[in-house]
Amino acid sequence: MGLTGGPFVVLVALLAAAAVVACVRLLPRVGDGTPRQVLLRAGLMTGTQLVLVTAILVMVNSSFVFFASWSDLLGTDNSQANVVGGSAHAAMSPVSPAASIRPARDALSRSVPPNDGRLDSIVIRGPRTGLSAASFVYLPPQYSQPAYRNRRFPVVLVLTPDVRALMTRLRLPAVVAGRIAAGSVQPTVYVMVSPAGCVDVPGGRQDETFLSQDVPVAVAARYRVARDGRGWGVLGDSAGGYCAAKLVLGHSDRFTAGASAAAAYNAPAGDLYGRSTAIRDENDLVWRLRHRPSPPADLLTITGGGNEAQAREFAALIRPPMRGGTLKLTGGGALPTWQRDLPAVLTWLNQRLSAES
Amino acid sequence: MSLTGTPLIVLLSAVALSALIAAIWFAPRASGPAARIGLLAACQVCLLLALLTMGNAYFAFYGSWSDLFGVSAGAGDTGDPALRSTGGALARNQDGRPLVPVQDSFVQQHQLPVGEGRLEAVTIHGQRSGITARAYVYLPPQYFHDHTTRFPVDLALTGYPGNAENLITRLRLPQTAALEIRAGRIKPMIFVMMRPMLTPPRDTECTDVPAGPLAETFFAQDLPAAISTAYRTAPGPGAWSALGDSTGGYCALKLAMRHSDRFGAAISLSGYYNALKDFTTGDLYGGSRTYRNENDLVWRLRHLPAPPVDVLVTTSKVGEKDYRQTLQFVALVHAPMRVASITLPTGGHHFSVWNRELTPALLWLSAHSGR
Repeated sequence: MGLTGGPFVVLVALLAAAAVVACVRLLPRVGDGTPRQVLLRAGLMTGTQLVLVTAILVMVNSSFVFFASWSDLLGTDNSQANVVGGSAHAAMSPVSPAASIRPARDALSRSVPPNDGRLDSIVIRGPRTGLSAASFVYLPPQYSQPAYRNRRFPVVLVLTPDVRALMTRLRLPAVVAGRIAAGSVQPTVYVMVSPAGCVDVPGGRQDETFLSQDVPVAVAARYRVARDGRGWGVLGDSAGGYCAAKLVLGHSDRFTAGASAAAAYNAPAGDLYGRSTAIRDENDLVWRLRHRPSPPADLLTITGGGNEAQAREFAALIRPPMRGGTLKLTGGGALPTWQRDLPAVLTWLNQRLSAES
Repeated sequence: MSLTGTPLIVLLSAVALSALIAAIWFAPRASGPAARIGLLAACQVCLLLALLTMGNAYFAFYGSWSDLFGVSAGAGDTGDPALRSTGGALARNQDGRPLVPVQDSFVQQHQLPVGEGRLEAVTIHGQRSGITARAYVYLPPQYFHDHTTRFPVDLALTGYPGNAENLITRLRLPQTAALEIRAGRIKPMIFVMMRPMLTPPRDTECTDVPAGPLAETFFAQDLPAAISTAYRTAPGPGAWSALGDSTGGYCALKLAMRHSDRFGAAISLSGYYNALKDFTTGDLYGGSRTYRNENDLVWRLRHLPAPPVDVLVTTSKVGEKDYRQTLQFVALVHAPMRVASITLPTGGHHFSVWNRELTPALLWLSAHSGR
């Protein structure tokens, strides 16, 4: 009769019931104070207690299945534990990381002179989210120099609606190369993406996870860049600014510093939160700063592109160990128009990033 | 009086014995069957209390009164925004460090022999989650051979309710790992042993509860960041793995599947796969059915891309309620995720079963962790 099976449980339950009934009925017959009767009473009550507690333990065990069988309980079950399955034996090679980045032809990639570095046009495919994004990756001139062949460079992830304009209008590669040559910015890799969104829709598109997991893993597998958060920063404007702030607030283990010129710090409009106000709150960056600890990261709040009041309210909520700063754009407007302010932003980020040691 | 200490057990045993003696003595004065049943019931309650306390101490379910009743002893933040006073910084973490080593008599009593590695106790102050929790860290002997070598890390989680102590006293994880490392059968790695019950007595199932405790963020972000400040951990994705029994197994799988940028492998010893909701958890999902789905590992395999992780799951044909679910999970795993399993013919939900599975599981882990 199995330890957890119905028959045994019923048996002990019946025995317990019988014991209780017998005890109750027999007790009056051994009610005297004589030693013999006291002994009989003791035996009766103790016996009943033991049967009763055994029944309770058997029933609880049967319900939760702690011990599956008699041999399990007694420790005599020594059946072999064998690992079976496709990956059971010798280590197999991990999923090929190179599959996550595919080169893409684009004339813009030839627009950077070699002295200024190299511009790659790629498509980043996220195996975790199933999402893809076209991207330009700027590599500083030092990337291909022998003296730097063991250096894993810091990265700034740039999130902006119009990535091409970063090259055609802002001339970001030339600006960065100039800063590096002047010694005010360390050699840094820039990954430029136009984000589709920045919310992990419950059960739906995982745009935030694409940026916080898929992109850093893919880039670090393909390029010689820092693999821990101390070497990653993020810069964004408009919806990309919301992303930048969110990545720093929600993934400070991945991004140690950010600069954000968000159009809005609230949760983006739409049915993106699984019909839950609590989830919506978690996506509202002002709510987060009010109700969650500020993480150990740095965030530069950039104002002057509209949204002045909310940006200041947001920045004022930052608490230690998070460190905040503010910068007012001289021009205002979208990131491709930041000719005058970009150097200051790059310098601010640079001071907070480190190459992997 | 400590919940798990001998004095309480002795006291309750004495109470149970006294109750029985008193019942035997006063039984003749009981008028009628109802009174006699009452005497039996009272004795039974006393006996059960004594047995429960002994069982709790042995299996290390609840380590203290505050674990059981959830009264914050000041040693931890529940991480619940509703309970935080507005306008105040987290005052408990006075020196601002995310990891603080602590003197712990349990560690002293269970320290490994010289040459087998070292057990340490630390307090982790989660800077992102606001949760503070205790962890035991096992460092392999190779950790002390030089000052530069970095090691992969395995996060080991016990069940719910449960204290991390039982990973050492009952599962014997560091002892088994030390043996296999010494024999050269597994590569040296760091083990971080914790319990999933971060905000006692609530069972948060390693979930980021909307407007509630950020248990997942604690394990996925705060813990790796804190451990990496104090110990030489290997960099890169897949340098971390997770292992657990029961609820710890569910947590291990969930962490690997939802944070495969950090965790490369996971082991679930008799874990389950569904998103729980019961009187110990409350609503963990912000009232969202779809967010609950995301925490259901079988649902994830059906509806989301499979992450690039290796997992090992264990179960028993007889004795494990998760047998069918495990079969279902294994059948659903697809590339780039890979799965292996241990299926015992019989085996219940307890530590001696997991002991038998632990060595083959660690061998598997050594072959699949670190990239």
